[in-house]
Amino acid sequence: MNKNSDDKIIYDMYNKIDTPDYDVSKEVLEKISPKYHSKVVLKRILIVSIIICLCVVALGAARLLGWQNFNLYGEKTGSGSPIGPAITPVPGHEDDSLIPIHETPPYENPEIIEYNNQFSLEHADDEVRIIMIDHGNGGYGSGSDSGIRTDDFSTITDIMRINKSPLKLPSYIPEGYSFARGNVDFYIDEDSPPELIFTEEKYGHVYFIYKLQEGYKENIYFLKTTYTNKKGNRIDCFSIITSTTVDNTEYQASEIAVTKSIEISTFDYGIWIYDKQKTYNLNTIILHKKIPQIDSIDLSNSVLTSIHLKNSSVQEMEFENMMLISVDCIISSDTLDVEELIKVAESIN
Amino acid sequence: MEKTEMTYDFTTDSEQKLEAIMKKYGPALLRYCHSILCNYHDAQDALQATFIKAYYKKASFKEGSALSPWLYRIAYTTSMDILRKRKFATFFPSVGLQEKECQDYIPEKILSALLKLSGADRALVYGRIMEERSYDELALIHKISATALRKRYERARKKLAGALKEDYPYYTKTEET
Repeated sequence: MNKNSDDKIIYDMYNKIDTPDYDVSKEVLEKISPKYHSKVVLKRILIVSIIICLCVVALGAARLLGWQNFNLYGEKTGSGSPIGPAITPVPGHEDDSLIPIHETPPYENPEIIEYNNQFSLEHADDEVRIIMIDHGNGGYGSGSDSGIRTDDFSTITDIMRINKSPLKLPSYIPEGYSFARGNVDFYIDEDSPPELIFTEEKYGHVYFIYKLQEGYKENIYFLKTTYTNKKGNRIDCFSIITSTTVDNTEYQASEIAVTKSIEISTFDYGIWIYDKQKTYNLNTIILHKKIPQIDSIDLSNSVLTSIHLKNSSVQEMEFENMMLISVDCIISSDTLDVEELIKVAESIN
Repeated sequence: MEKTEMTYDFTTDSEQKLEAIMKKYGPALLRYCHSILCNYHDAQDALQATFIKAYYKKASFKEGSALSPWLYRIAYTTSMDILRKRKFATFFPSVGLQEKECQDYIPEKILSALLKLSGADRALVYGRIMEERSYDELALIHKISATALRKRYERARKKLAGALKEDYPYYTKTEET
Protein backbone atom coordinates (compact mmCIF):
# COMPACT_ATOMS: atom_id res chain seq x y z
CA MET A 1 0.00 0.00 0.00
CA ASN A 2 1.36 3.41 -0.92
CA LYS A 3 1.22 5.69 2.08
CA ASN A 4 0.39 9.34 1.69
CA SER A 5 1.33 11.93 4.29
CA ASP A 6 -1.81 11.39 6.39
CA ASP A 7 -1.19 7.65 6.37
CA LYS A 8 2.35 8.24 7.59
CA ILE A 9 1.16 10.46 10.42
CA ILE A 10 -1.32 7.83 11.50
CA TYR A 11 1.22 5.04 11.11
CA ASP A 12 3.65 6.92 13.38
CA MET A 13 0.87 7.48 15.87
CA TYR A 14 0.02 3.78 16.11
CA ASN A 15 3.68 2.99 16.66
CA LYS A 16 3.59 5.19 19.77
CA ILE A 17 0.89 3.00 21.32
CA ASP A 18 2.25 0.34 23.61
CA THR A 19 0.26 -2.89 23.73
CA PRO A 20 2.01 -5.24 26.19
CA ASP A 21 2.09 -8.95 25.41
CA TYR A 22 -0.69 -11.05 26.86
CA ASP A 23 -0.92 -14.83 26.82
CA VAL A 24 -4.61 -15.48 26.32
CA SER A 25 -4.43 -19.23 25.78
CA LYS A 26 -4.66 -20.44 29.38
CA GLU A 27 -7.91 -18.64 30.13
CA VAL A 28 -9.46 -19.51 26.80
CA LEU A 29 -8.62 -23.20 27.06
CA GLU A 30 -10.01 -23.30 30.58
CA LYS A 31 -13.29 -21.76 29.44
CA ILE A 32 -13.77 -24.17 26.58
CA SER A 33 -12.96 -27.23 28.65
CA PRO A 34 -15.66 -29.94 28.70
CA LYS A 35 -16.19 -29.34 32.44
CA TYR A 36 -17.04 -25.70 31.85
CA HIS A 37 -19.06 -26.50 28.76
CA SER A 38 -21.13 -29.28 30.33
CA LYS A 39 -22.89 -26.74 32.54
CA VAL A 40 -24.04 -24.86 29.49
CA VAL A 41 -25.37 -27.97 27.77
CA LEU A 42 -27.22 -29.01 30.90
CA LYS A 43 -28.94 -25.65 31.15
CA ARG A 44 -30.09 -25.89 27.57
CA ILE A 45 -31.51 -29.33 28.13
CA LEU A 46 -33.36 -27.94 31.11
CA ILE A 47 -34.86 -25.16 29.08
CA VAL A 48 -36.17 -27.57 26.50
CA SER A 49 -37.50 -29.75 29.26
CA ILE A 50 -39.64 -26.95 30.59
CA ILE A 51 -41.80 -27.05 27.55
CA ILE A 52 -42.88 -30.63 27.88
CA CYS A 53 -43.41 -30.21 31.62
CA LEU A 54 -45.74 -27.42 30.75
CA CYS A 55 -47.57 -29.49 28.17
CA VAL A 56 -48.19 -32.15 30.73
CA VAL A 57 -49.31 -29.64 33.32
CA ALA A 58 -51.63 -28.06 30.83
CA LEU A 59 -53.19 -31.41 30.09
CA GLY A 60 -54.01 -32.05 33.71
CA ALA A 61 -51.41 -34.66 34.55
CA ALA A 62 -49.53 -32.56 37.06
CA ARG A 63 -50.81 -34.56 39.99
CA LEU A 64 -48.74 -37.55 38.92
CA LEU A 65 -45.86 -38.14 41.25
CA GLY A 66 -43.17 -39.75 39.15
CA TRP A 67 -41.37 -38.41 36.14
CA GLN A 68 -39.18 -39.88 33.47
CA ASN A 69 -37.01 -38.48 30.74
CA PHE A 70 -37.04 -39.45 27.08
CA ASN A 71 -34.68 -38.72 24.24
CA LEU A 72 -35.79 -38.11 20.69
CA TYR A 73 -35.17 -41.74 19.77
CA GLY A 74 -37.98 -42.54 22.19
CA GLU A 75 -35.63 -44.13 24.74
CA LYS A 76 -35.91 -43.63 28.47
CA THR A 77 -32.89 -41.74 29.77
CA GLY A 78 -33.65 -41.32 33.43
CA SER A 79 -36.29 -40.63 36.00
CA GLY A 80 -36.85 -38.53 39.07
CA SER A 81 -38.42 -35.34 40.19
CA PRO A 82 -39.33 -32.67 37.70
CA ILE A 83 -36.28 -30.75 36.58
CA GLY A 84 -35.95 -27.20 35.47
CA PRO A 85 -36.90 -23.92 37.04
CA ALA A 86 -40.41 -23.31 38.24
CA ILE A 87 -42.59 -20.90 36.36
CA THR A 88 -44.16 -18.09 38.30
CA PRO A 89 -47.12 -16.66 36.49
CA VAL A 90 -47.56 -12.93 36.68
CA PRO A 91 -51.07 -11.76 37.60
CA GLY A 92 -53.08 -11.34 34.44
CA HIS A 93 -50.77 -13.59 32.48
CA GLU A 94 -51.53 -16.93 34.13
CA ASP A 95 -52.24 -18.59 30.84
CA ASP A 96 -48.89 -17.71 29.32
CA SER A 97 -46.80 -20.78 29.64
CA LEU A 98 -43.24 -19.53 29.34
CA ILE A 99 -43.60 -15.88 30.17
CA PRO A 100 -42.55 -13.77 31.97
CA ILE A 101 -40.37 -14.74 34.92
CA HIS A 102 -38.24 -17.83 35.39
CA GLU A 103 -37.20 -18.08 38.97
CA THR A 104 -34.18 -20.17 39.80
CA PRO A 105 -33.90 -19.91 43.57
CA PRO A 106 -36.93 -20.30 45.80
CA TYR A 107 -38.19 -17.08 47.27
CA GLU A 108 -39.13 -16.83 50.87
CA ASN A 109 -39.93 -13.17 51.13
CA PRO A 110 -43.40 -12.39 49.71
CA GLU A 111 -42.49 -8.71 49.58
CA ILE A 112 -39.73 -9.51 47.09
CA ILE A 113 -41.99 -11.73 45.01
CA GLU A 114 -44.56 -8.97 44.90
CA TYR A 115 -41.96 -6.38 43.99
CA ASN A 116 -40.56 -8.60 41.22
CA ASN A 117 -43.97 -9.08 39.70
CA GLN A 118 -44.78 -5.41 40.06
CA PHE A 119 -41.50 -4.42 38.46
CA SER A 120 -42.16 -6.71 35.51
CA LEU A 121 -45.72 -5.54 35.05
CA GLU A 122 -44.82 -1.87 35.30
CA HIS A 123 -42.56 -2.24 32.32
CA ALA A 124 -44.61 -4.80 30.46
CA ASP A 125 -46.30 -2.29 28.21
CA ASP A 126 -43.21 -1.33 26.30
CA GLU A 127 -42.73 -4.00 23.70
CA VAL A 128 -39.03 -3.38 23.18
CA ARG A 129 -37.92 -4.27 26.66
CA ILE A 130 -36.39 -7.22 28.40
CA ILE A 131 -36.53 -7.36 32.13
CA MET A 132 -33.95 -9.25 34.10
CA ILE A 133 -33.66 -9.74 37.79
CA ASP A 134 -30.53 -10.90 39.51
CA HIS A 135 -31.46 -12.75 42.65
CA GLY A 136 -28.30 -11.86 44.45
CA ASN A 137 -27.16 -15.40 45.13
CA GLY A 138 -25.98 -16.51 41.75
CA GLY A 139 -29.43 -16.99 40.31
CA TYR A 140 -31.22 -14.72 37.95
CA GLY A 141 -34.58 -14.41 36.35
CA SER A 142 -35.63 -13.00 33.09
CA GLY A 143 -38.81 -11.89 31.55
CA SER A 144 -39.09 -10.81 27.97
CA ASP A 145 -41.89 -8.62 26.86
CA SER A 146 -40.53 -8.58 23.39
CA GLY A 147 -42.98 -11.26 22.39
CA ILE A 148 -46.52 -11.00 21.14
CA ARG A 149 -49.55 -12.62 22.70
CA THR A 150 -52.76 -12.36 20.79
CA ASP A 151 -56.17 -13.88 20.19
CA ASP A 152 -56.23 -12.46 16.67
CA PHE A 153 -54.97 -15.01 14.18
CA SER A 154 -54.15 -12.37 11.56
CA THR A 155 -51.57 -10.83 13.93
CA ILE A 156 -49.72 -14.15 13.91
CA THR A 157 -50.01 -14.69 10.17
CA ASP A 158 -48.86 -11.12 9.45
CA ILE A 159 -45.69 -11.68 11.46
CA MET A 160 -45.11 -15.04 9.80
CA ARG A 161 -45.46 -13.43 6.38
CA ILE A 162 -42.64 -10.92 6.90
CA ASN A 163 -40.48 -13.45 8.65
CA LYS A 164 -38.20 -16.05 7.18
CA SER A 165 -38.39 -18.19 10.28
CA PRO A 166 -37.96 -21.94 10.05
CA LEU A 167 -40.95 -22.16 12.39
CA LYS A 168 -44.24 -22.78 10.64
CA LEU A 169 -47.90 -22.88 11.54
CA PRO A 170 -49.93 -26.01 10.91
CA SER A 171 -52.01 -25.70 7.75
CA TYR A 172 -54.35 -28.47 8.90
CA ILE A 173 -56.48 -28.26 12.01
CA PRO A 174 -59.30 -30.81 12.50
CA GLU A 175 -62.85 -29.71 11.89
CA GLY A 176 -64.57 -28.02 14.80
CA TYR A 177 -61.38 -26.40 16.10
CA SER A 178 -60.51 -22.78 15.62
CA PHE A 179 -57.65 -20.51 16.63
CA ALA A 180 -58.01 -19.36 20.24
CA ARG A 181 -54.73 -17.62 21.04
CA GLY A 182 -51.06 -17.52 20.18
CA ASN A 183 -47.65 -16.38 21.35
CA VAL A 184 -44.66 -15.37 19.30
CA ASP A 185 -41.26 -14.67 20.83
CA PHE A 186 -38.15 -13.46 19.12
CA TYR A 187 -34.51 -14.27 19.35
CA ILE A 188 -31.91 -11.53 19.36
CA ASP A 189 -29.40 -11.43 16.60
CA GLU A 190 -25.80 -11.81 17.72
CA ASP A 191 -24.81 -8.57 16.01
CA SER A 192 -27.56 -6.53 17.68
CA PRO A 193 -27.26 -7.05 21.43
CA PRO A 194 -29.80 -5.36 23.69
CA GLU A 195 -28.83 -2.11 25.34
CA LEU A 196 -29.12 -1.52 29.06
CA ILE A 197 -31.41 1.44 29.73
CA PHE A 198 -32.25 1.11 33.39
CA THR A 199 -31.03 -0.60 36.50
CA GLU A 200 -32.04 -0.55 40.11
CA GLU A 201 -30.80 -2.20 43.28
CA LYS A 202 -33.39 -3.27 45.82
CA TYR A 203 -33.60 -6.01 48.43
CA GLY A 204 -30.03 -6.89 47.54
CA HIS A 205 -31.08 -7.74 43.99
CA VAL A 206 -30.32 -5.95 40.79
CA TYR A 207 -33.10 -5.18 38.33
CA PHE A 208 -32.30 -4.45 34.71
CA ILE A 209 -34.27 -3.26 31.74
CA TYR A 210 -32.76 -3.71 28.33
CA LYS A 211 -33.93 -2.21 25.10
CA LEU A 212 -33.95 -4.35 21.99
CA GLN A 213 -32.57 -3.02 18.78
CA GLU A 214 -34.64 -2.36 15.68
CA GLY A 215 -35.49 -5.35 13.56
CA TYR A 216 -35.70 -7.90 16.34
CA LYS A 217 -39.19 -8.85 15.22
CA GLU A 218 -37.72 -10.41 12.13
CA ASN A 219 -36.35 -13.26 14.23
CA ILE A 220 -39.02 -15.66 15.42
CA TYR A 221 -37.72 -17.98 18.09
CA PHE A 222 -40.83 -19.43 19.64
CA LEU A 223 -44.30 -19.91 18.28
CA LYS A 224 -47.26 -21.27 20.13
CA THR A 225 -50.79 -21.52 18.85
CA THR A 226 -53.79 -22.94 20.66
CA TYR A 227 -56.95 -24.14 18.97
CA THR A 228 -60.16 -25.01 20.80
CA ASN A 229 -63.56 -26.43 19.94
CA LYS A 230 -66.98 -25.68 21.41
CA LYS A 231 -66.56 -28.38 24.06
CA GLY A 232 -63.42 -26.70 25.31
CA ASN A 233 -61.05 -29.36 23.97
CA ARG A 234 -57.77 -28.00 22.76
CA ILE A 235 -54.83 -28.53 20.48
CA ASP A 236 -51.55 -26.83 21.39
CA CYS A 237 -48.78 -26.43 18.85
CA PHE A 238 -45.40 -25.24 20.13
CA SER A 239 -42.40 -24.67 17.93
CA ILE A 240 -39.05 -23.49 19.16
CA ILE A 241 -35.60 -23.03 17.68
CA THR A 242 -33.06 -24.65 19.97
CA SER A 243 -29.34 -24.97 20.40
CA THR A 244 -29.51 -28.66 21.14
CA THR A 245 -28.76 -31.53 18.83
CA VAL A 246 -30.82 -34.68 18.73
CA ASP A 247 -28.31 -36.34 21.03
CA ASN A 248 -28.56 -33.82 23.85
CA THR A 249 -32.26 -33.11 23.84
CA GLU A 250 -34.46 -34.75 26.42
CA TYR A 251 -38.07 -34.39 27.27
CA GLN A 252 -39.74 -35.10 30.52
CA ALA A 253 -43.13 -36.69 31.00
CA SER A 254 -45.02 -38.43 33.76
CA GLU A 255 -44.12 -41.98 34.74
CA ILE A 256 -47.16 -43.49 33.04
CA ALA A 257 -46.00 -42.19 29.65
CA VAL A 258 -44.93 -44.49 26.88
CA THR A 259 -43.32 -43.47 23.63
CA LYS A 260 -43.47 -44.59 20.07
CA SER A 261 -41.32 -43.39 17.18
CA ILE A 262 -43.22 -41.85 14.32
CA GLU A 263 -42.17 -40.55 10.92
CA ILE A 264 -43.12 -37.11 9.74
CA SER A 265 -41.77 -36.26 6.31
CA THR A 266 -40.66 -32.71 7.12
CA PHE A 267 -38.80 -33.58 10.34
CA ASP A 268 -35.76 -35.73 11.09
CA TYR A 269 -37.11 -37.34 14.27
CA GLY A 270 -40.54 -37.81 15.75
CA ILE A 271 -41.94 -39.46 18.87
CA TRP A 272 -45.44 -39.80 20.22
CA ILE A 273 -45.71 -39.69 24.01
CA TYR A 274 -48.97 -40.97 25.42
CA ASP A 275 -50.69 -42.73 28.28
CA LYS A 276 -51.35 -46.28 27.21
CA GLN A 277 -54.06 -46.71 29.85
CA LYS A 278 -55.73 -43.49 28.75
CA THR A 279 -56.18 -42.57 32.39
CA TYR A 280 -54.65 -39.16 31.85
CA ASN A 281 -54.75 -36.71 29.02
CA LEU A 282 -51.19 -37.31 27.90
CA ASN A 283 -51.07 -37.23 24.15
CA THR A 284 -48.15 -35.38 22.57
CA ILE A 285 -46.08 -35.57 19.43
CA ILE A 286 -42.54 -34.20 19.55
CA LEU A 287 -40.64 -33.50 16.37
CA HIS A 288 -37.06 -32.42 15.77
CA LYS A 289 -35.06 -31.33 12.76
CA LYS A 290 -31.74 -29.70 12.01
CA ILE A 291 -31.64 -26.24 10.47
CA PRO A 292 -28.82 -24.03 9.16
CA GLN A 293 -27.06 -22.38 12.09
CA ILE A 294 -28.37 -19.07 13.42
CA ASP A 295 -26.14 -16.96 15.70
CA SER A 296 -28.14 -15.37 18.46
CA ILE A 297 -27.85 -14.05 21.97
CA ASP A 298 -28.90 -16.31 24.78
CA LEU A 299 -31.00 -14.39 27.27
CA SER A 300 -31.70 -17.40 29.41
CA ASN A 301 -28.08 -18.23 29.98
CA SER A 302 -26.62 -14.90 30.90
CA VAL A 303 -24.30 -14.30 33.79
CA LEU A 304 -23.94 -11.33 36.03
CA THR A 305 -20.67 -9.48 35.84
CA SER A 306 -19.37 -6.41 37.51
CA ILE A 307 -17.11 -3.73 36.21
CA HIS A 308 -15.36 -2.43 39.26
CA LEU A 309 -14.37 1.18 39.11
CA LYS A 310 -12.74 3.37 41.71
CA ASN A 311 -15.43 3.84 44.32
CA SER A 312 -18.38 1.88 43.10
CA SER A 313 -19.41 -0.67 40.58
CA VAL A 314 -21.68 -1.01 37.62
CA GLN A 315 -23.32 -4.34 37.18
CA GLU A 316 -24.52 -5.68 33.92
CA MET A 317 -25.76 -8.88 32.41
CA GLU A 318 -23.17 -10.50 30.23
CA PHE A 319 -25.03 -12.07 27.35
CA GLU A 320 -23.73 -15.30 25.98
CA ASN A 321 -23.94 -16.10 22.34
CA MET A 322 -25.98 -19.08 21.33
CA MET A 323 -25.94 -21.09 18.16
CA LEU A 324 -29.43 -22.15 17.20
CA ILE A 325 -29.25 -25.32 15.17
CA SER A 326 -32.53 -27.17 15.32
CA VAL A 327 -36.27 -26.86 15.53
CA ASP A 328 -38.39 -28.75 18.02
CA CYS A 329 -42.10 -28.89 17.55
CA ILE A 330 -44.60 -30.19 20.08
CA ILE A 331 -48.23 -30.91 19.31
CA SER A 332 -50.55 -31.86 22.14
CA SER A 333 -54.21 -32.54 22.40
CA ASP A 334 -56.52 -33.80 25.08
CA THR A 335 -58.89 -35.50 22.64
CA LEU A 336 -57.40 -36.11 19.20
CA ASP A 337 -56.30 -39.58 18.25
CA VAL A 338 -52.75 -40.08 17.05
CA GLU A 339 -53.75 -40.21 13.39
CA GLU A 340 -55.21 -36.73 13.66
CA LEU A 341 -52.20 -35.48 15.60
CA ILE A 342 -49.96 -36.82 12.83
CA LYS A 343 -52.05 -35.01 10.22
CA VAL A 344 -51.53 -31.76 12.11
CA ALA A 345 -47.81 -32.52 12.37
CA GLU A 346 -47.52 -33.29 8.65
CA SER A 347 -49.09 -29.95 7.83
CA ILE A 348 -46.34 -28.00 9.62
CA ASN A 349 -44.07 -27.32 6.66
CA MET B 1 0.10 -7.76 7.57
CA GLU B 2 0.73 -11.49 7.56
CA LYS B 3 0.45 -12.55 3.95
CA THR B 4 0.57 -16.28 4.51
CA GLU B 5 -2.80 -17.23 5.90
CA MET B 6 -3.29 -20.23 8.13
CA THR B 7 -6.01 -22.58 7.08
CA TYR B 8 -7.42 -25.10 9.46
CA ASP B 9 -9.54 -28.13 9.46
CA PHE B 10 -11.31 -27.68 12.79
CA THR B 11 -12.89 -31.08 12.75
CA THR B 12 -10.17 -32.85 14.72
CA ASP B 13 -7.98 -31.85 17.64
CA SER B 14 -9.68 -28.50 17.65
CA GLU B 15 -8.30 -27.43 21.03
CA GLN B 16 -4.71 -27.94 19.94
CA LYS B 17 -5.46 -26.10 16.74
CA LEU B 18 -7.05 -23.27 18.64
CA GLU B 19 -3.92 -23.01 20.75
CA ALA B 20 -1.81 -22.69 17.63
CA ILE B 21 -4.17 -20.06 16.26
CA MET B 22 -3.99 -18.10 19.51
CA LYS B 23 -0.24 -18.16 19.40
CA LYS B 24 -0.10 -16.96 15.82
CA TYR B 25 -2.90 -14.41 15.73
CA GLY B 26 -3.22 -13.41 19.39
CA PRO B 27 -0.65 -10.56 19.48
CA ALA B 28 -1.96 -8.90 16.30
CA LEU B 29 -5.58 -9.29 17.35
CA LEU B 30 -4.78 -7.80 20.76
CA ARG B 31 -3.31 -4.70 19.09
CA TYR B 32 -6.34 -4.53 16.79
CA CYS B 33 -8.78 -4.69 19.73
CA HIS B 34 -6.66 -2.18 21.66
CA SER B 35 -6.81 0.24 18.75
CA ILE B 36 -10.61 -0.01 18.63
CA LEU B 37 -11.29 0.00 22.35
CA CYS B 38 -8.47 2.32 23.45
CA ASN B 39 -8.34 0.36 26.66
CA TYR B 40 -5.86 -2.43 27.23
CA HIS B 41 -7.95 -4.38 29.75
CA ASP B 42 -11.01 -4.29 27.51
CA ALA B 43 -8.78 -5.43 24.66
CA GLN B 44 -7.67 -8.43 26.72
CA ASP B 45 -11.32 -9.30 27.40
CA ALA B 46 -12.16 -8.87 23.73
CA LEU B 47 -9.29 -11.14 22.73
CA GLN B 48 -10.42 -13.87 25.11
CA ALA B 49 -14.00 -13.63 23.90
CA THR B 50 -12.84 -13.70 20.29
CA PHE B 51 -11.06 -17.02 20.65
CA ILE B 52 -13.84 -18.55 22.71
CA LYS B 53 -16.34 -17.56 20.05
CA ALA B 54 -14.02 -18.80 17.32
CA TYR B 55 -13.92 -22.16 19.04
CA TYR B 56 -17.66 -22.50 19.44
CA LYS B 57 -18.38 -21.07 16.02
CA LYS B 58 -15.88 -23.34 14.30
CA ALA B 59 -18.69 -25.01 12.36
CA SER B 60 -19.24 -21.72 10.54
CA PHE B 61 -15.63 -21.57 9.37
CA LYS B 62 -15.32 -22.81 5.82
CA GLU B 63 -12.48 -25.25 5.56
CA GLY B 64 -9.74 -24.01 3.29
CA SER B 65 -10.81 -20.37 3.47
CA ALA B 66 -8.64 -17.65 4.99
CA LEU B 67 -8.69 -17.69 8.73
CA SER B 68 -7.55 -14.15 9.34
CA PRO B 69 -10.64 -12.21 8.06
CA TRP B 70 -12.88 -14.66 9.90
CA LEU B 71 -11.03 -14.10 13.18
CA TYR B 72 -10.89 -10.35 12.67
CA ARG B 73 -14.62 -10.27 11.99
CA ILE B 74 -15.22 -11.95 15.36
CA ALA B 75 -12.76 -9.60 17.09
CA TYR B 76 -14.43 -6.62 15.45
CA THR B 77 -17.98 -7.54 16.53
CA THR B 78 -16.76 -8.44 20.01
CA SER B 79 -15.01 -5.08 20.38
CA MET B 80 -18.09 -3.26 19.12
CA ASP B 81 -20.18 -5.09 21.72
CA ILE B 82 -17.82 -3.90 24.43
CA LEU B 83 -18.07 -0.33 23.16
CA ARG B 84 -21.86 -0.53 23.24
CA LYS B 85 -21.73 -1.72 26.81
CA ARG B 86 -19.74 1.36 27.74
CA LYS B 87 -22.86 3.33 27.02
CA PHE B 88 -24.01 2.20 30.45
CA ALA B 89 -21.90 5.01 31.80
CA THR B 90 -24.34 7.53 30.37
CA PHE B 91 -27.05 6.14 32.62
CA PHE B 92 -24.87 6.19 35.68
CA PRO B 93 -22.94 9.42 35.57
CA SER B 94 -21.54 8.96 39.04
CA VAL B 95 -19.91 5.69 38.10
CA GLY B 96 -19.08 6.48 34.51
CA LEU B 97 -15.85 5.35 32.97
CA GLN B 98 -13.15 7.59 34.25
CA GLU B 99 -10.91 9.23 31.72
CA LYS B 100 -7.91 7.51 33.25
CA GLU B 101 -9.50 4.12 32.68
CA CYS B 102 -9.12 4.71 28.96
CA GLN B 103 -5.66 6.14 29.02
CA ASP B 104 -3.65 3.06 29.69
CA TYR B 105 -0.68 2.67 27.39
CA ILE B 106 -2.01 5.31 25.01
CA PRO B 107 -0.50 8.80 25.24
CA GLU B 108 -3.14 11.35 26.17
CA LYS B 109 -3.06 13.37 22.96
CA ILE B 110 -3.16 10.29 20.77
CA LEU B 111 -6.11 9.03 22.76
CA SER B 112 -7.87 12.33 22.33
CA ALA B 113 -7.38 12.13 18.56
CA LEU B 114 -8.46 8.48 18.35
CA LEU B 115 -11.62 9.17 20.34
CA LYS B 116 -12.69 11.65 17.69
CA LEU B 117 -13.43 8.59 15.53
CA SER B 118 -16.13 6.02 16.11
CA GLY B 119 -15.05 2.51 17.11
CA ALA B 120 -15.89 1.22 13.63
CA ASP B 121 -13.75 3.92 12.04
CA ARG B 122 -10.87 3.21 14.40
CA ALA B 123 -11.04 -0.44 13.32
CA LEU B 124 -11.12 0.57 9.69
CA VAL B 125 -8.16 2.94 9.88
CA TYR B 126 -6.08 0.46 11.86
CA GLY B 127 -6.90 -2.36 9.45
CA ARG B 128 -6.01 -0.25 6.47
CA ILE B 129 -2.84 1.41 7.71
CA MET B 130 -1.29 -1.00 10.16
CA GLU B 131 -2.38 -4.27 8.62
CA GLU B 132 -2.44 -3.06 5.04
CA ARG B 133 -5.68 -4.83 4.32
CA SER B 134 -7.37 -4.32 0.99
CA TYR B 135 -10.88 -2.88 0.92
CA ASP B 136 -12.18 -6.27 -0.16
CA GLU B 137 -10.67 -7.88 2.93
CA LEU B 138 -12.00 -5.10 5.13
CA ALA B 139 -15.43 -5.58 3.59
CA LEU B 140 -15.42 -9.16 4.90
CA ILE B 141 -14.69 -7.89 8.40
CA HIS B 142 -17.00 -4.88 8.45
CA LYS B 143 -19.76 -6.41 6.31
CA ILE B 144 -19.94 -3.20 4.31
CA SER B 145 -19.19 -2.86 0.61
CA ALA B 146 -15.62 -2.07 -0.39
CA THR B 147 -16.75 1.13 -2.12
CA ALA B 148 -18.53 2.42 0.99
CA LEU B 149 -15.54 1.48 3.12
CA ARG B 150 -13.16 3.41 0.89
CA LYS B 151 -15.22 6.58 1.34
CA ARG B 152 -15.50 6.04 5.05
CA TYR B 153 -11.80 5.38 5.35
CA GLU B 154 -10.90 8.57 3.53
CA ARG B 155 -13.13 10.64 5.79
CA ALA B 156 -11.84 8.93 8.93
CA ARG B 157 -8.20 9.24 7.88
CA LYS B 158 -8.60 12.95 7.22
CA LYS B 159 -10.29 13.48 10.56
CA LEU B 160 -7.71 11.53 12.51
CA ALA B 161 -4.72 13.03 10.74
CA GLY B 162 -6.24 16.49 11.22
CA ALA B 163 -6.62 15.90 14.95
CA LEU B 164 -3.06 14.64 15.21
CA LYS B 165 -1.66 17.61 13.33
CA GLU B 166 -3.41 19.93 15.80
CA ASP B 167 -1.76 18.24 18.73
CA TYR B 168 1.52 17.35 17.06
CA PRO B 169 2.51 20.22 14.78
CA TYR B 170 5.90 18.57 14.26
CA TYR B 171 4.15 15.97 12.10
CA THR B 172 3.58 18.69 9.53
CA LYS B 173 7.21 19.87 9.86
CA THR B 174 8.51 16.36 9.30
CA GLU B 175 6.39 16.18 6.20
CA GLU B 176 7.82 19.45 4.94
CA THR B 177 11.42 18.42 5.42
